[in-house]
Amino acid sequence: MKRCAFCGHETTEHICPKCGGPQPVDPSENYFSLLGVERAFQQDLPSLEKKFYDISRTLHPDRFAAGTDSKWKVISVERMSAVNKAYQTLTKRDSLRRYLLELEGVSLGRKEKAEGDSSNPVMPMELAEEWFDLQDAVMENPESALARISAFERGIRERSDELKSRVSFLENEYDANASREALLKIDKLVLDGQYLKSMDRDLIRLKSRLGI
Amino acid sequence: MASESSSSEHEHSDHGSHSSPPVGAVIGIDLGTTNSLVAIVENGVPRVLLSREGERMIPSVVTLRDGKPFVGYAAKREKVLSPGETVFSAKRLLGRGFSDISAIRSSLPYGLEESVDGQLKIMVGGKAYSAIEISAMILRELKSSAEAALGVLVQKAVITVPAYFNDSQRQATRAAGRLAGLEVLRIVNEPTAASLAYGLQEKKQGIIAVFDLGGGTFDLSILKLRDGIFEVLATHGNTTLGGDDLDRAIAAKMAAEVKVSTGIDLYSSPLQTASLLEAAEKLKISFASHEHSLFSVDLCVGAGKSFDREWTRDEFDQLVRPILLATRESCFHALDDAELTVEDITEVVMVGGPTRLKIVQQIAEEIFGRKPNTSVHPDEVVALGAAIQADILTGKNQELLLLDVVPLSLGIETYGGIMEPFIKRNTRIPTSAREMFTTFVDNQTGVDVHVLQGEREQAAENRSLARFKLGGLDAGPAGFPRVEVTFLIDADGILQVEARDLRSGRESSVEVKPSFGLREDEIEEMLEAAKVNLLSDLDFKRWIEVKNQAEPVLRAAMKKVPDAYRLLDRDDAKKIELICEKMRTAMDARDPEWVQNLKYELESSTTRLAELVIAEAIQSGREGIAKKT
Repeated sequence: MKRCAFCGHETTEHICPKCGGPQPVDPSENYFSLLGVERAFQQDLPSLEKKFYDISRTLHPDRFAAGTDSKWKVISVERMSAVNKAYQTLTKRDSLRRYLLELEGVSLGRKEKAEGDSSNPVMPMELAEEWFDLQDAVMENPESALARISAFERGIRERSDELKSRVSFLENEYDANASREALLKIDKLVLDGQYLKSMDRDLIRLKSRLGI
Repeated sequence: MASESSSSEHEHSDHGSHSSPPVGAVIGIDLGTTNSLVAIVENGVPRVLLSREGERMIPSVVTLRDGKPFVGYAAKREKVLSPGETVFSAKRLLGRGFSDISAIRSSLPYGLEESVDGQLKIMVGGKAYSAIEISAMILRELKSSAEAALGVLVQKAVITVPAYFNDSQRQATRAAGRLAGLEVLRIVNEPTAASLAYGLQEKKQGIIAVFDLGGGTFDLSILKLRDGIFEVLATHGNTTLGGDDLDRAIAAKMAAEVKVSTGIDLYSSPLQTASLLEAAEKLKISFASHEHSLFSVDLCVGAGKSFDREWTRDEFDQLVRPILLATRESCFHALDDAELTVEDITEVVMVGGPTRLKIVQQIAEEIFGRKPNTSVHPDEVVALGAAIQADILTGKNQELLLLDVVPLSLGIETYGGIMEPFIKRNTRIPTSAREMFTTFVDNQTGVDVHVLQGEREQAAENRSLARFKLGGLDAGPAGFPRVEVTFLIDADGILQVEARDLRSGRESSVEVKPSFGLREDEIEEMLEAAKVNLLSDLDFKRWIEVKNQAEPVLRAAMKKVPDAYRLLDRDDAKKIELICEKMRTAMDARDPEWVQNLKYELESSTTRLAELVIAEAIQSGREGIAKKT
């Protein structure tokens, strides 16, 4: 059981119920525990907001501005800053996913993987071919460019939708039974998905070159 | 509103004066570009405190006569009479360097120079002042006003700044507060403060946009109001756009016409420029309520020859519209950052004097597709909000809470002059970021860190906040020493830096010298130097004591002056009248010894008069009785 850093009273709260002192952030705490929510990919935003507001109401440095211990002031700033970052991270799908993978020690190996050849985020061969064909085609026949680009974009969107649904299926699996296998698959899918993002940028560049 | 603690504090009020507020009142200050206000919350109700001249607003203008500052309306009159000694719009110079202000330099009739280290110096009466010092003079006046209005010492304040103020500008504002003898409990963003007062008044929930156009700055903040929480979702702004710019546009147009029709150049002297700008401001203000207005400027100040020209609101609207359209960009930026569209906004709240103009309301309506809400007092709402925040910080109001954001990204300069952000704009504050630093060459014992604020990729295009050296590293191979630097943004939106050498575990103290501002020790030094001229706290208490005793004596004596002329000989009566007059002067000068002496003098010289008045009353009483019987 954790004890209050000031009076020694047993507490796991943000603020000691006995002396009212804000508690320093403990290394064992994480963004989920700070906000008092399940360690999961699926988060209910309205209840997350309610928790964040309720914590802010008592922990915010404004509540320690008048005449309290200067140590309390400093700690309320530190702890509120951690809660702010937790809320910011967990309310956005991408940042939540990144954080949870990191917290579970899954994406730590990403750097090495990126250098190895097998799991590098390279474009699937068939898509790369399509992309080169498209570029040649629009150069040779600019009139049909718009139609071809749209078709290509549709293809990209389909891939991206499929990826999203697979990721979300795996996320549910992790949420249901803390499957580590699911985490590893999510990590790989997210990494593979990066080519879709760079494809988006390439498409924009191609379109602006053609004046579309 | 929570006000449980107010009853106990009322016990401190001295000799039964029933309305005296708690000792050590915390005030809210709106330090504006053109006007400033001070407000307080009493028993949960915010109100504006009147200045010593009895006005709600105090012009942010300072005239320096032999180094002695005059602030407010007295100084504003001097703006035209002695432009070389009068400083206005100092807020536009706060926290900026000489090179930052080239665009507005020509429109300010007072002298501006650059010091050796690039700091800005305001030259008045042959002396150099910083914008911080000028702002401190205004704040000191506001502090005295509040003290006079409340009858207690004021040492703590909440001061508002435009939401889009960067770290230097916030630091400079806080330094000005300190220099004015105030402990600045919090720097609050103006639109956020306004939302507090709006929320308290309207009791509405939802997502609001605060459209805050002041004298020199524009801010757009988007907030979510729910169950007493005021959460800023995003803010954007422009610190070089305000009502002043409209004045300058009118002035430029009129100066051109005058030049064509008379050959006179109104920009040729500071005196002429000042009176031109004043005429332009008058015209602008008239269009808040009129369709036609006459622009009139003296062609030669004091000579009675003037240039007059009729304007329609249409012409005015057309002239200023392009300037005001710059507000659109900030609105859309803020919406983007909040990941919202105009349809999500339930109310657009207008704040700042210029929002009285129909053209400003019209532009806000075009942007948000809805009629803006003009229910709050555009000039006073920010000060009222600051006072509410002061009430929150003193713990009296536990129901409301502001959650604000940092308006601009913070980062460090990396190799190749690129800014690498570590805290993104619109991040909730307080917040912190940790960065690791190491050496590039063998046996390097120090690392230079350059902290920046802004949204540009090129480091040089952002505001330089601070440069510091992480020194005292153990010599070793490149990349071996590791220094962890923690950047903390507190609830004021101000940066603090801490560094730790990870190998030795040593905390290295980092002194961050604000690029354009004052260090804490510089402020202390200036405060020390200024002390001789200031009423110290003890002096103030003595003054209030003396004043409270002297006032009734003076009032009674003044009432008796006609009796004196009736009952005493002329010389004695004249003497009493003279002492009364002297005493009023002494009161104005806040000189306790002088007032005390005059009080004794007045008491002794009115003793005989009092006796006579009483005798007369008894006599007339007897006569009355006699008549009845």
